[in-house]
Amino acid sequence: MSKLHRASVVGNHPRLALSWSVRILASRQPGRAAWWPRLVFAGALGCLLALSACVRSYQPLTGLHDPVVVDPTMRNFPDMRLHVYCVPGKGLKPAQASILCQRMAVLFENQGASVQTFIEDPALGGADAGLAPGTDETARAADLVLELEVEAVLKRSHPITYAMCWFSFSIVPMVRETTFTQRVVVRDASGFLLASDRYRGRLVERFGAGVWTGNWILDKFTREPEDRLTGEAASNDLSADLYGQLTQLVFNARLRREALQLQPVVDPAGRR
Amino acid sequence: MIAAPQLLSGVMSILFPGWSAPGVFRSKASTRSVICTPVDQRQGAETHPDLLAEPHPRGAYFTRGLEVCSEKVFREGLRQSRDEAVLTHLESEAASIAQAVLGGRPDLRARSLLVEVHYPHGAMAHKIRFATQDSLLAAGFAVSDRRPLLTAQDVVVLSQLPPERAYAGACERYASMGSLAAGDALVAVLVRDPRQTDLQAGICADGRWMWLR
Repeated sequence: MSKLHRASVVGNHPRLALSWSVRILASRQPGRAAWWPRLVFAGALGCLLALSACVRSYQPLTGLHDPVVVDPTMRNFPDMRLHVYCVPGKGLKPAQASILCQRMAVLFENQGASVQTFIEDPALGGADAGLAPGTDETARAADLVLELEVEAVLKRSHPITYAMCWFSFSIVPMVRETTFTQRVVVRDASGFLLASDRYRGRLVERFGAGVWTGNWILDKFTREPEDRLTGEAASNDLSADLYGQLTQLVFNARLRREALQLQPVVDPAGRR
Repeated sequence: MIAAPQLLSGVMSILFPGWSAPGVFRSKASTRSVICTPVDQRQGAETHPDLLAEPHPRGAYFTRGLEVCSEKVFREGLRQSRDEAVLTHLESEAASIAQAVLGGRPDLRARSLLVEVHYPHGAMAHKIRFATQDSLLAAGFAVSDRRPLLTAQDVVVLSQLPPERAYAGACERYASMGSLAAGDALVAVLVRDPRQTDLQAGICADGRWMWLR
């Protein structure tokens, strides 16, 4: 303690802070009121450390875990021209919309489609999200237009868990929940609605050394690979569900579009 | 007054937030076996009066997010994925087909509608047919249980044609053979691709075929 305290006199701020914390923790001054600053500070320190120890879990609520038949790794959309429009809004900033669009482009290009991405309405000559090869290509009409919109985001923090985390030195986790709704619409080039769906899911983030260590041990020794929670498991699960559902929806829309294109012109006089 | 189960669930959600998500006590498989839909408190009190009380007329102190979660009837993998996907949305798909008939051919209200389903599994085809008939009845159509017939030779010829010609050809044959009378119309519900999870539909009336969706 004394070495650190001496070092802090030099004026190095991180060292000053560290020496202060060590001094508080190791203080042996007499008096009953001296215990709580140590506890509060140690809790804060524990929680700050615990911020890096996060276990994120993903829970599909509606639509995301419906069965999918089409395999997203196959060439399901050969020679199809697809416009992907990621609608920025309250739940999706323009930068995030652009990233989402680029991922969608990779998803559908891997399945044989020719994809252009937009973060403004392509029907109004919207801006390209960065993947279109040129203006001539942008002007080409699409076979299908996929619209993605994060419609509502409910974020809930739980202050009681924050307090419990604080006073338990992050053994008890602090918890944060995010519920999201993904609205998906598929139209043809004329704007005719072919398919739509709404997916809901929840991400629960638990911060704390206790929860991270417990889950890490379980992942390492008892859980099957598909049941693991630490690392990027939640992101991978969410991506797999979302990509599967989107592929299935676009596939169904493509078949519906083909059927409607087979439609002979209806003679109104033929109707009774 | 707050119902006891509501109070208990409120306390549990405060002490153990995110308990329904995968974690130490809950596996991913168990969370995937449940479908949760959001409801407002008034709607929830109507559907689950034993669990939820009516909202107070002067409002509540807290904003609550309510969800009704129900177990899937069959566990994952027990039925084929396509059957499961079709059955999951069968009610809404059938209602959508009925709406398409209503929008596409409102003049058919005066006729008797026959329903035919082209699906690889007989039991599934029966369920889809029943749901479609039910939705057509709810939409105000007259529905018949009769099925139009084709000769074996017609079936052999039509099964070798591409879909765009096969359904139109079958429709013409129904009319020319008289198995579809002037007062009848046929609603055909079908799946054109084994990877498809929604239902397509067309209508045959007066020997002319029309895709509805």
